[in-house]
Amino acid sequence: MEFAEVQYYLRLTRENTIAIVSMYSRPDPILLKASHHTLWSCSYQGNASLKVISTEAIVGVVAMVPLFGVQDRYFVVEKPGLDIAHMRGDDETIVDED
Amino acid sequence: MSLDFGNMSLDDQAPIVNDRSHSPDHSEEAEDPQPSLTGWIPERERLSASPDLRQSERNSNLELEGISDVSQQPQSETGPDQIPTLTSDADDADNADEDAAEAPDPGCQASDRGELVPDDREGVGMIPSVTRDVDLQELSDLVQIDDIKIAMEFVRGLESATLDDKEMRLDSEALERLRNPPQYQIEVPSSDLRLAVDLYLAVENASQDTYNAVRTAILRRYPESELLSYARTKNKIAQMSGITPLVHNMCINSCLAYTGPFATLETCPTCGESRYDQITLTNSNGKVKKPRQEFHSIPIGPQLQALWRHSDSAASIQYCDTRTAEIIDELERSDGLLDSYDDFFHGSEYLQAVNSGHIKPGDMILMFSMDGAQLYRNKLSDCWIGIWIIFNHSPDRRYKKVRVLPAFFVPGPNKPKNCDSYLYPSLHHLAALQKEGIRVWDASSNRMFTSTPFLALATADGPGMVYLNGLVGYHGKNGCRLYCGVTGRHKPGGAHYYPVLLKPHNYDVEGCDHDDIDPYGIAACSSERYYENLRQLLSSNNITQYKKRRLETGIAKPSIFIGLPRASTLGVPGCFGSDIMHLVALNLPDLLLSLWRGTIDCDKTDDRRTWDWAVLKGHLWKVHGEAVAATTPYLPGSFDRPPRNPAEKINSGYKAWEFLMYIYGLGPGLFYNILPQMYWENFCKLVYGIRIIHQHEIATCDLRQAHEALIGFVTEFEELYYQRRTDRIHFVRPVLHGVLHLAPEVTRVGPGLCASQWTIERTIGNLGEEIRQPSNPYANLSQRGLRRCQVNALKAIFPDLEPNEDGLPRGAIDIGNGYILLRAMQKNPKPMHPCEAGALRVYLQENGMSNGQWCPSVYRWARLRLPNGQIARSAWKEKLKPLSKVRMARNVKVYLYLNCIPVHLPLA
Repeated sequence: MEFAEVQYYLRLTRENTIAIVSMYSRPDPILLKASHHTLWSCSYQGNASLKVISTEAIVGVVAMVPLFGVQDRYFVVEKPGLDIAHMRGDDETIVDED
Repeated sequence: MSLDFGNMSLDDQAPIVNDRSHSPDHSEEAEDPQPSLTGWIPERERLSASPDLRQSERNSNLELEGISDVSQQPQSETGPDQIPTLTSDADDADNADEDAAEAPDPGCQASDRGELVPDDREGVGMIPSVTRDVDLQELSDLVQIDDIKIAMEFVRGLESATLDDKEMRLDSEALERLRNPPQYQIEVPSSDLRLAVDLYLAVENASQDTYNAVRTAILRRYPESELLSYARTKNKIAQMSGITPLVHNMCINSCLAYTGPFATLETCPTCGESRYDQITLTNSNGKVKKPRQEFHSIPIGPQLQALWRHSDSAASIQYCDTRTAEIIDELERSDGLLDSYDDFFHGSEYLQAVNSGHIKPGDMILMFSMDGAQLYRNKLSDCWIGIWIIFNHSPDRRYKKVRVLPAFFVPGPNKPKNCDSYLYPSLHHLAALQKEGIRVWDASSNRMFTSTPFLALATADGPGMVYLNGLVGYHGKNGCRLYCGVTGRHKPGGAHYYPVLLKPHNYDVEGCDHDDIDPYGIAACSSERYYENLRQLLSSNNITQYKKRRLETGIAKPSIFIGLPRASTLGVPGCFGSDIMHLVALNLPDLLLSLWRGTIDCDKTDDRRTWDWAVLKGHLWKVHGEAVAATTPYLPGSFDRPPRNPAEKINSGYKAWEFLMYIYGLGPGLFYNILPQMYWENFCKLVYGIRIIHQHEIATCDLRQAHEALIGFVTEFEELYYQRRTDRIHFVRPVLHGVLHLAPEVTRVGPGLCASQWTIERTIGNLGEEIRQPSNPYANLSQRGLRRCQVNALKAIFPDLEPNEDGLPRGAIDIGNGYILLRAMQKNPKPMHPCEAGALRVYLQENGMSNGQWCPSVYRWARLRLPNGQIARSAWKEKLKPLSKVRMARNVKVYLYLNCIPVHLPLA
């Protein structure tokens, strides 16, 4: 499991769409353990960790929230109970954008 | 043979057992357990007792040692053993404390029912749904207390219910359709009628005036059109849907409905108000009886028939049958073990009911849910709404507005005093259907068959639950809403019981001084014990004895649900589930924040200055609140409403969803370095467990770990905060007991989200939005609810009335496997950044192709819709906006092992 910031998407071929992403660092192992695996904190690495991935490797959107008081450190928030909104029929509406 | 389904231990699940000896010999069932479609029921003996059964027996024995004899104890006449009055309405933090209700009570004390309950431990680990028949007549004959007599009359009314009962009869046309449904698919109506129906559906939330204005406009342009008026369209839709309401009189003060034993009364026995309009009555010399208030129930039978009336609808409603066959297959292959739980159908209770022939293919599996609502904030406007959820739909469809069926509406202004009388029409109709069966024409296979509706679950929030289950409620000695038998402890002289596991130091309150309770030894509900205790309660000779037994048994009155045919429900108390929404999203946050803010009550013998966990005060609370609000730009739009600043808004309708994100999403990060380390670590265990439990699909291995973590959280919580201090017993609120049941309940009835109150909260919300006439909001609410049922039935009959959900927006490209590429897209190719091109080269090389040192120009795309419905964005576009305008959605979770898709062609 990894987390990444998408730069943009690109159609390589008709069959193959990729995302250019910047990978976040591996999590701080001490915090991860102390928090019973609930606090996954990592650093943003910008252009230093660019990677191309297949879009199908992307499984969900997460929040990367700045960790209070620590420079350039973020923690991951996944949507708890994603299904609540999904179940009640409130999928994200797609708005036209240019 | 002993089974361990209901047991708390999760080591091995034994979800299905083929032991016919547990089948009730209920007369309705005896005739026909014939599985008419596929052979669901494997005939061979499936499972023997699993290893952890021994563990559970050991635990039971441990518990028994702690039993004290309660039979001579003086009973408190106050407080907790009284039938709680209902104060519902959820969703707001303000009510969180009362709602602590759903938290059942831990405890393994088989205990203090010494006198009342013959020690029958065998019942504890068994499936409650299959149990011997109960003679309701005999139970009724025991009753001496008037209020209980009335409750039993409702129960007996269900027992003898038929569709022909005069008081509950549908009009003759509807009744005829119910027994002999038309056996043809209705064609799409003529163009003018279709236009009228489309228009009627389109103006859903607008007014009748909007319909008429559009109609006028259309008629001006197309005068030859025979577009129906609003009123005629409405009638036409009612007629096509086949849905008509059952209307009953009720007390003008909402005390009760004139149904069942009250049917012939002309004056409310509670408040003395007359049933009929006195002026009309007098002027007509007693001939015209105009009811002063009415309420509507919408019978479920015709609505269920409609679901089979079109081949597409009928095909999709058979999800349950298909899924059940798959699960049984999986169980056969895996020796009775499940990899994961993703629906109610994975629960042991359901599988047991299938296995014993109580549920056959084609039967309809129902959940009933009830809640109170205030139509206007700060105004006396309570009303109660019931809904049906049809589990036969697939999970991604069943909770949507178009498939949630309103059951009844109880107008305010007050809370009902006798709720049974309002439930009665809905349940009476259900009971009659369960006995007679519903004749269904299945359009997908052009056949007639008899479907039996099965009541799987009945849920409400804590305060509402006592209406359904008839138990004393969360502050009672037996406060567990699952009726697990654990008894609470109260302070000396205190009225409220709390589900404290650890025995306080120097504590000798009679009836509460049992030893520490082992959280691993808590068993699920047992139907046997419920009926034994109910029998004791019903045979009370006088009020004093009744109150004493009410305290000891935790039962205030018989649940009306015991009147339903036993084989067509999960039984009492088995059909009453947890309420994950209030427990997780309101009660737990309320408890934790009141501790961390130091606002929880502090007894005289305690000292707030010693509360080293109470750090969210003064400046720090303010700063923390701002930090919560400051996360907004980082939370993707798909995360719903971001939590507001709790320091400012926590008392003004802070929503369940906000708490969920604040506490379980952001909590571990936001409380880090703020809470002292040991409290933070304890809290993280809770978060870990809840993040697993609060999912729609739960892997069995994760569930086991969640259970460990949650038990760890609760036991540590007691050690850290309450510290065995009598003056801190009130820290251990009922919600903590509920936490202990969360994981085992998943094995019993599937993931909590399947049966949560989120759905009814949502229904109340969207019906409330439709109310158009503030002058008589209650009648309008009933009308909107009836319209909802009719429209939903019509949409099942004509599925193409539903707008196509799959339309792609302009310029989007479906790239397969559920992924959709969305604009913006660059109009002209722009060169890649050299380091991006480098990353692309690596990717191509890894996939067996090298492209040298080039740096191509490309068309960038901005957004990608994922199979789970979320939209992942990108830095390319998001970085153009200021942070304050963004809900950042460019960060994604990635599984790199999915990253090995071969590239077939080189770049153009």
